Amino acid sequence: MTRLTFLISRGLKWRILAPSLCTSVLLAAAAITPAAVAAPSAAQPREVARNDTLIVSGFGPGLTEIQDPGNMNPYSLGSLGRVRDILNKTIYEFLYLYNHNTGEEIPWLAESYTVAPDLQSVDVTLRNGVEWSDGQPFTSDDVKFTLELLRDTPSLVFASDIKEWVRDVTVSDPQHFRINLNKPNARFFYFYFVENSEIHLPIVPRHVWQGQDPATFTNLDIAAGWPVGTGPYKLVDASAQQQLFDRNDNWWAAKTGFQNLPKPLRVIFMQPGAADTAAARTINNEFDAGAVMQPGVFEAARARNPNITSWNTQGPSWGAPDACLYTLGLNTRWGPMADLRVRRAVQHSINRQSMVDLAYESATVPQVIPFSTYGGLAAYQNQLTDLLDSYKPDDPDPAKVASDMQEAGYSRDSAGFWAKDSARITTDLLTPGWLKPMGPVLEKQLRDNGFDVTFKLFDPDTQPFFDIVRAGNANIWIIVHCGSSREPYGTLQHFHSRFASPAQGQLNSYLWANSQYMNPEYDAIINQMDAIQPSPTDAQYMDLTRKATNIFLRDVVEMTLAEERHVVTFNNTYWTGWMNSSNAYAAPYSLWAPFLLSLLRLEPGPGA
Amino acid sequence: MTLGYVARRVGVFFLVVFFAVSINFLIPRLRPTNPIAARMYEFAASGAGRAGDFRELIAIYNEKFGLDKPLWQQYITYWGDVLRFDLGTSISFYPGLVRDEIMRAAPWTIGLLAVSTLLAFTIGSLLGALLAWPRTGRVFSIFVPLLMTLSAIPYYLLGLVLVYLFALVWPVLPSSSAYTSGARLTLSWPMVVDILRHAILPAASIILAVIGFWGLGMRAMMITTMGEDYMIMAQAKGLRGRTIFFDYALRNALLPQVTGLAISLAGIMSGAILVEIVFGYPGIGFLLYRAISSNDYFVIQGVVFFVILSVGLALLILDLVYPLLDPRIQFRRS
Repeated sequence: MTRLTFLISRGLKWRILAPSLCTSVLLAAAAITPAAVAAPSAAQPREVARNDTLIVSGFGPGLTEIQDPGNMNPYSLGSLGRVRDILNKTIYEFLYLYNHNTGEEIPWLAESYTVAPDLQSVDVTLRNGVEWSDGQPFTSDDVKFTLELLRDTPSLVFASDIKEWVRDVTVSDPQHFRINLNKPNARFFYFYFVENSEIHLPIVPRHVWQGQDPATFTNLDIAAGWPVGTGPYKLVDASAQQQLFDRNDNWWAAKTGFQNLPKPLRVIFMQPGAADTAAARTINNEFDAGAVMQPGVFEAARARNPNITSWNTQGPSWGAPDACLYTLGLNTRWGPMADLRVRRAVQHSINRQSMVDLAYESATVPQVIPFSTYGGLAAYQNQLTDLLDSYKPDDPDPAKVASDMQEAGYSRDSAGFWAKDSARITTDLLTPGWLKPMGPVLEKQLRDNGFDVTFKLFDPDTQPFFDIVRAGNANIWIIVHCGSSREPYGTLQHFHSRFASPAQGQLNSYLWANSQYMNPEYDAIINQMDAIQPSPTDAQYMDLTRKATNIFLRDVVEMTLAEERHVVTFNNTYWTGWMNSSNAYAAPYSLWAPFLLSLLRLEPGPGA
Repeated sequence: MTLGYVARRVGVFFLVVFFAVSINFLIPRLRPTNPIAARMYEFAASGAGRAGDFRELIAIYNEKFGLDKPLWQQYITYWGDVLRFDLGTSISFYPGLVRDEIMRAAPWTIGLLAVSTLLAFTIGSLLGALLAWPRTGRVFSIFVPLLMTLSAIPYYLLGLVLVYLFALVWPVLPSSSAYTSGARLTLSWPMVVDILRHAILPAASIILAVIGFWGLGMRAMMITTMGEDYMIMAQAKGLRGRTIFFDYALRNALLPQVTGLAISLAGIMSGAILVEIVFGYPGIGFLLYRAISSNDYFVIQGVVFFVILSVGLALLILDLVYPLLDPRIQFRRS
């Protein structure tokens, strides 16, 4: 021991100074052991020049970014993030695509569909010549396999939907099939197979998936050509940092003349890093698309790199709508907000423009009814302006607040807050983390008008927020109401009593419909709308829309505040032809399937 | 050092691991959140909640992950798995195994943080020792305020400043990622260079931020050591300055630093969360951040388990090695 101690003491300084550096080198070598970090893959991908490569950053930190390089299953737990970020514009195509800006339905893998008059079935015709990436034909049997797999496998995402609606699929021939429904649904096909933004139901190849456990099948074997899809790209490498897709020069659409091959030979999806880092990378031309920026950051980035653009060419509202509305939720059934006069007073307390200016740097626009500004909805909204003039929902006025509250039996207490029978309206203003900019602003506006509310944030864990709100235990909350992108019914139906909780304390049946509104008159209107196809020129549909909107405004069922808009950025250095407000061929969100259209329209930019 | 002492230390090690692993099991479960439900709500929050009633799906996966069982049953199952080094299945990466995810991320973090920690320790300790050494030139005194300033700045902020300076204003280094986009990992010299280039900014942010910690600590220890009798004795004996510096001052002042180094190296397994987020670095810190964000109990438990094990082992090794480093340390009962 003494000898050992002696040796250690003599060599101490060298162990301190130099060998640590040697250890560093060894550890650095360990860090770059490719076998330890790389996903299973085939041969080395070919070299592709930067100017032939499109680099897309993830939409932002959270679920919908590259997250799982070892799994390409579009239906197992966690699948939707995978589909929306990387798979829905590379590997998988959909029966239809949709232009949210115009409401145009774009036939893609399917040529047409017809909803039966009794709304109990949908006949679909597939496009001729569609092939999987392994050369097998894409047929009606693949659709039948996919839908019935979902129907029969409860552990898959969307299984409960398909089980609720789909009885079975009848195949007539490889190009024709009928989806038989369990009950009438005028919008089933549109909802699940056309819009393809929030919901994605990719058809999977029966010849690959049959016999697999669909809940644990990873759908990834690059050497075998998996994942097999019909899309214009094939996966060639996947790691935690990036996923590489190379163009499939045998893409069916190019062979049949339906589309030209996309110009980018390779598409790379990258982890964006922190918001500031992602902005720096976009400025440095490292990202071509996808980085979402705050308006101020976007303006700074644009000043450094004029090739950076977003949806609008003029600010401050640079961003694009996404069919969601910033909303102040009110519990219309229990608590102080159940009194319509109190809800009206709350409405008169809110200054929407001020909220937009302070919380979102004027980057969006106030809205008063829960409909997006998307073109498909404009034709309906234009016929409702007289209702807005009549109800004037955007009318901040302290005198009207006082009038409504006094009518409801309230008076100001010694601290200036509204109280009835010595009981003050004291409540939390519940706010999920991603909507926190609005919280302090609305709290201030409400407190200034005598409501003793306190902003309460749920971040990052929003489950308690939803549990409280869905059970009818909240009085007032901030939320986005993501409704329809093409017709009023999609949003108005959320105020039907079928979405109300069975009793206070019990969860309701739908995450985004929490007003707890119960009105048989309103229910009857929605029931009639259920059974008809939407059209702004259909007198019956428009009459029902007016009646429902009238009740929504009259009863202040919830308060629509402003439109949610995201400043999605594009870099025109290497690629041009991006969608924007004057070339609105698709919505600009890389999460949505129609983003494929941009890949097909891109042309080399000035930096190429 | 007696056998009894070694046995006691090993016993304490197992006790610490037992309690820490138990706490590691309990803490995520004290939250009212169900991780499967939270996962579904996150999808909903990202806009995917238009369709579907998640309740059936939540029930199915609660059963698959054993989250429907009473806590004591989960605890027993958990210990059974831990003893077999089975860290379970990730919720976020389902059906991927937690162990695989950690192994995938660990090389990046170990490479980045081990190198950064060792470099910061070496440079910082040497600098601190020189700052206290009377024969060091006066010019060195400027390092004191510099080190104090750097040690007060969080490393992720330094990271953002470095990105601004060296990736935007003077674009000589990549701003983020572990290697160039489009490149594929191979064991080749260009790839090694590429990885090292990408590691420079994140490593620099860590080194600059912690070098002050090591330097100022070492300086204080050196000042204490300089007043010791054996230092005066060494000078009286006419020993060379370099010998006194390394063998008498540095060696004796270094012991607390070595303890700190061991704990820092052991803590590497938890990653540098903020640095990895800022630089989009695919290491354990980023993995842990995502696991916490998505309530992935099993990944959180897996990462923390490795941290517990490595810190416990580091402290055990230190306890056993101390008498070898410094013969004055005795482990006998008084």
